[in-house]
Amino acid sequence: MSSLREVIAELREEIGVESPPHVVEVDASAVDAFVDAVGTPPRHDGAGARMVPPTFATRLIAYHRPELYQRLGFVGLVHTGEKITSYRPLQVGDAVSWTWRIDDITERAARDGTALWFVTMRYAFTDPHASRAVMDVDRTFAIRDRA
Amino acid sequence: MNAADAGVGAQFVIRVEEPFTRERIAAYAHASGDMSQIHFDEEFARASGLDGIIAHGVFVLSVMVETVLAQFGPGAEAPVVDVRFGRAFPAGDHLLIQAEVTAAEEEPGRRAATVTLVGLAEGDRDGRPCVQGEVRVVIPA
Repeated sequence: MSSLREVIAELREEIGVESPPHVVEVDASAVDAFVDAVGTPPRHDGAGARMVPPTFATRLIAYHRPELYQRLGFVGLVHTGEKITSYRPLQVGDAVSWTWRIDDITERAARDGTALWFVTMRYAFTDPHASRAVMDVDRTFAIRDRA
Repeated sequence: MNAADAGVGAQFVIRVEEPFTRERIAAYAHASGDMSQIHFDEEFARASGLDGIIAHGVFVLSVMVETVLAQFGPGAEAPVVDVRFGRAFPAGDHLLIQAEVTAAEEEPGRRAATVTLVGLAEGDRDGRPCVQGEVRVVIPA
């Protein structure tokens, strides 16, 4: 089994490399389930149409690269930041395409001296028909070395 | 209060009535697809250095964003949500949302506001934020 430092070194090789596009649908039942689980009242626009929470984007990228998280290990892995930039709101029935890449990996020393890596990744959503940007999700994880 | 009519400096504090129970966290795990064990496995959470099961950061964030957008009335959107996650949010606690309008603009056909957000677990006596950042809100005129 490779050490966490070796896994991080492999990930550094991937910095800037864009994944193939994944096409996903903003499915009404998935939006309903998400809003129900969040527990806040559904919101509507001025015309009465159901609005999709901006954080629903995280549902569309769930299950991505489970083997990566398995290798990093969930112990010591912390989600530290999220930036969601919408160029237009997601709508029920949308088919959008997203790609993924690692933007940066930085290393710092934690207070106890162990290595702490910050991995910043971007999920870029586009409208596959119009080739227009729909949304970016910038996500940062911190991973503490367990060696 | 409709926050859309509030100017720069307006502050509001909202206590979310529904606690983040284990059942709600499990339901969010299924609906979001984030099935990390720290959100439903007490033993695993403790082995991970936590005091017990915690809510997903994005679950807490989602409640904060939707609650704040509701304050701005129908059609309010959040084109930018930018936050950092801090202290873990423990199962069973209530969420306190502190928000402040820090900028406001009039644009053709719409108004925009920048709102800083802090999310706290009510039971945390140290008052360390679980979520902290800002959201840009756009409201149709």
